[in-house]
Amino acid sequence: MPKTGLISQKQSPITRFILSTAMNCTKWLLVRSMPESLNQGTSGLSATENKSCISKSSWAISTVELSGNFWIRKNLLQRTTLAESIAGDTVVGHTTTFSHVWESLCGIQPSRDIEFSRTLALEMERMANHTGDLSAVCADIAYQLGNSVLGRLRTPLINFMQEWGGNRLSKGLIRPGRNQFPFTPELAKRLMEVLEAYEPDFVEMNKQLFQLPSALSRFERTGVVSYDDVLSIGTVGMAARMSGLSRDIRSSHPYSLYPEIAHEPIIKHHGDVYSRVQIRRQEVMQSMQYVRDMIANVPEYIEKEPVVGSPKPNSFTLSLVEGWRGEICHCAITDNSGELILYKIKDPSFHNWLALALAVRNNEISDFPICNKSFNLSYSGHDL
Amino acid sequence: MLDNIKIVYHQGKQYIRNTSTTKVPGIFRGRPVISTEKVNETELVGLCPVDAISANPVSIDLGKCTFCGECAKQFPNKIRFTTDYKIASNERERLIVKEGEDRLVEVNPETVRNEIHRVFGNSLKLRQVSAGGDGSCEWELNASNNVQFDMGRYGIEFVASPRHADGIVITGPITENMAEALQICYDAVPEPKIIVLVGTDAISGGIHAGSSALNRSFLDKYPVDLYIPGNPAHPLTIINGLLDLTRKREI
Repeated sequence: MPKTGLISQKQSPITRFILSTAMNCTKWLLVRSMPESLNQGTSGLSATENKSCISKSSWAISTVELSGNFWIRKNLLQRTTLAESIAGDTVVGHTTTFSHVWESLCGIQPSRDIEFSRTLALEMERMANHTGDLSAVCADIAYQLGNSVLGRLRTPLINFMQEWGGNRLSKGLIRPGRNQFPFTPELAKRLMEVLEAYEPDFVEMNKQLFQLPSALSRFERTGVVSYDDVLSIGTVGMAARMSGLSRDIRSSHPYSLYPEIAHEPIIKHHGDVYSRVQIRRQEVMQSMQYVRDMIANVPEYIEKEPVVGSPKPNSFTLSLVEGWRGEICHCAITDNSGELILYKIKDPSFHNWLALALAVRNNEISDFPICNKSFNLSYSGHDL
Repeated sequence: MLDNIKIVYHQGKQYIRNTSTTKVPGIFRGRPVISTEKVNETELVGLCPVDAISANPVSIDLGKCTFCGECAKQFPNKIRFTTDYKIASNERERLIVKEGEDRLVEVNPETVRNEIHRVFGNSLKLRQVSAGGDGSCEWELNASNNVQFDMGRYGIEFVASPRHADGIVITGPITENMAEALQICYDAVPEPKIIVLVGTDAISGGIHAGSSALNRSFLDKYPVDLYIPGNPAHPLTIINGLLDLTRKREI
């Protein structure tokens, strides 16, 4: 067992995983020879007696079927379609992660216009989902106006995704190695109009919501998860940032266009429903600014043949993307012929479900819905 | 109070006046039209990730199609996706679009069960069962009830208990783990009741078709009253499908 001085609890589970894996690369060969044990839900790392490096739960993604499908379905389009179906509200997040894995395995460097589309789509997805969740939180405190207004404000954002890629939830938009729907200056102009109309309504509604005593009394000190708790259970994304734990792949491991954006995570400290809705509100405004900055300078699209590569043999690839819930991790291992022998998917919900369980403790039963909705975790993303 | 009224004023009217004639923005992929142009059919059929395309004559099964648009991108003169969002039908065969036919996909009033118009014509309460889906169709079912699409105006709503429902809406490919729950839910709905399948996953299994994690035996036992294709189904597809099934509309 190598010494684990490099690894500390302060790092996100994935960072710890990468470091521990790098130190145990020889032991990974053992894992490769027994994929069955991995698929049975036995953590591959526990099989390599690596329990003290990282907690078992930080990597034990027990899916059998979906990962299994990734092996069987050889067609790249099938694999991409499958990646789109991991979590219906994080289509861009999971497809981007999958594309990064695939491109990395094949040694393809995606062009700037491709990375531009992905970054833009990721931020749009974040805005749409945060808006929808603020609406749902309003519904759970019986604030009908907030529910209706914020619920309808999600529509122009996802309708724009349809104008761009033909699907409201961005299915079919992101593809490995190519730019399926180039973002044109006309679309940029249209998106500017959409945001012009969206912003005043969003700001007005939230100003009202966040000064409403009846709303604040439901939000504040409800569903608290402490810093120590989120640290020990290893939450990611918004469920970490709500309690003062700065975990955001966009700033810690910037990818696509994020190195240029120089993202600064929005951190809250109370870990209650109020912190979570505040993060959503502020992240919408932050993402809107990123989107505006990006579309002011749309990279030129030059039509070229899509790059189709083949995965390198005996490789291990890990990809991290900050979805709107938190870090998404996909991991792939190829065999001698370059075919996938292992594909693991981790949705941020995997880490964050336990935070919900801790949040509802000692709360009234009537506060369960807002605790739940303020996290809004994915069942399909978790039950992989 | 005044601030709330101000917000209501600023929002204006949000609802879509006519949910069956409104246009969807942009490049929506709805009902495909297949031309009679000669192409390499083997290549076309092999392209589809879910085997929704058949050759000789070329046809697309909307119950299997994931609407990824790859076929239209590779063979733009052969296949074109129109923005026609009315693609729901009560007959499985009607979801198959054949080459050279520009025929609407619609509900066949002849084969709709008699009691559906009579009992559910003015009011329909549905219980939704998410049977292993990815949540996208569920989002769109939710959106059907928002202030813009406003399905509630037609008396169609979702209820929390199957005891209060007139039928079930199934989304997702129906996994083994959800098979029993689906059966229990269906049994709890009082007669007469309908079954609606929403989304490609529910209709055929979609990209998950053939997986050993699925158990679709429920669908062999009972007749399905409405198929609403899409990946996910558009709210307007859902609303128009349910209206065409339950009432005789004069538009």
